[in-house]
Amino acid sequence: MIGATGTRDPSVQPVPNSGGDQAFLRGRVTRDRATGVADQLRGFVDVIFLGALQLDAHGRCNLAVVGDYTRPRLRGPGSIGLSMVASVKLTIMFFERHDARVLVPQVDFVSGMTVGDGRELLVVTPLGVLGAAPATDKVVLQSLHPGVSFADIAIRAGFALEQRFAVETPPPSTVELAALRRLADGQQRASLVTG
Amino acid sequence: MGKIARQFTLEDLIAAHVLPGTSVDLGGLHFHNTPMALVREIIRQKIGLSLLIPPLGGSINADQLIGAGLVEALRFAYVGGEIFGLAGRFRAAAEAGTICLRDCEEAGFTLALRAGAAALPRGFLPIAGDIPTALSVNPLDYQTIIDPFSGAPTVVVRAITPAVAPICQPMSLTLTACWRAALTRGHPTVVKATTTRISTRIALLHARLTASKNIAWRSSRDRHHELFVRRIDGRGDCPCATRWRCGRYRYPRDPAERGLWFGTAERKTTGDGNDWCHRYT
Repeated sequence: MIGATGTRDPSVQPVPNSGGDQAFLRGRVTRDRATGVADQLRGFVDVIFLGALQLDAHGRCNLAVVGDYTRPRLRGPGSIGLSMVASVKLTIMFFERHDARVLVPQVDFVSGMTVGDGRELLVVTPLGVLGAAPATDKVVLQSLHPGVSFADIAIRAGFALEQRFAVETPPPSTVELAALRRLADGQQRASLVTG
Repeated sequence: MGKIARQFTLEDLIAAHVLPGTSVDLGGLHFHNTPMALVREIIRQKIGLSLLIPPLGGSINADQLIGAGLVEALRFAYVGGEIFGLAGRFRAAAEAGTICLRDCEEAGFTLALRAGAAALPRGFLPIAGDIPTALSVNPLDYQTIIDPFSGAPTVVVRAITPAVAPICQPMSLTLTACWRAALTRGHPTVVKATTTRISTRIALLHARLTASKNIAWRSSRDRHHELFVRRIDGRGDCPCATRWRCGRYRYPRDPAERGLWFGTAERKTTGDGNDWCHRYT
């Protein structure tokens, strides 16, 4: 496990709010960023967690701008490490909303490419889970959260989703629930989400 | 280590080494280890910068300089408030088109730092998959050349070689974790700076560095850089926890305190964050 601080296998309790928290410096070894980048580009990273402003039907993600580049409607923070997801085997993304503003036919700025070459993608939204279809390298619906219909999730996406991949998202297992409940700072996380 | 023990006032330090129209590369990562006392002094003296290069995770440091109207161009991979949201002044300037943006991505930015540290003009950028848009919107920093060895098209990125590199060098008592963090950003920054290195660390840093014979300092000493130290911890004018003493190595958990960190509480009342910016500069 490597966080934004560059520390490998950080050991912190409780878990901080951010991967860039300096608490993550406690770990086995901290590497300079250039070495970490080289490792990632060589395919040494199996899984990456990230977010984005937009994701399109071809798995391209955008963390830079929405709209025209020179006069954007929304200026995001920048592409940062999204350019390197193409060398990661599994990309896990999380969106707090599921609508045509974030799930777009084509991103306005390609920060990175999450699918292709047999790589896996999991996109968790409030309505379901999207994934990558290996044959077409396109983003497809993988599961619907309980209580959500296919019509609900399809009409809100900015690109067509195929129903044949859709099953109901399985509930968390007993082990997963126990792990979640062990997070003593649950209120802290809730306050972050609600602002 | 005789070149360390020079002390300047903060005002003189900035006036002497950050000249109008210069390029500045800030150290740190997100809200940690970033030389905010120097940033604020640049703002106080209203020194315009031709090029600002924030840390890989740029934050309040770049946002304040941009909000003060002192940045002509920005070469960056990320400028934001991290868990606090977007960087308001950066976002406003970008959306208004009042700043020249040189978008980079992490690999290019990092390898440009390494190229600069190695005194090379370019760094080679192995990008897999689709080429990110940054490479097309920023032709000043990215180019495609023919690899002279393989004959294949290869993307290269312009080295980062700032005129001045303000950094904050924190260390733990055991010279371990925090110093390694500083190395993450500080070491290549120190090596690549063409004129000088400025640190906001207190004078105590001198003794610790002397005792530890730190490799980062040796590399800068060999290149005849000078380290200026200034005790700034007594100023106490920043609630944003970017100084080493109040970095506390952990973001605050109280929502009000978190808001204060990045000025969100003030922005909600004033609408544009300018009061907040003035208050802390």
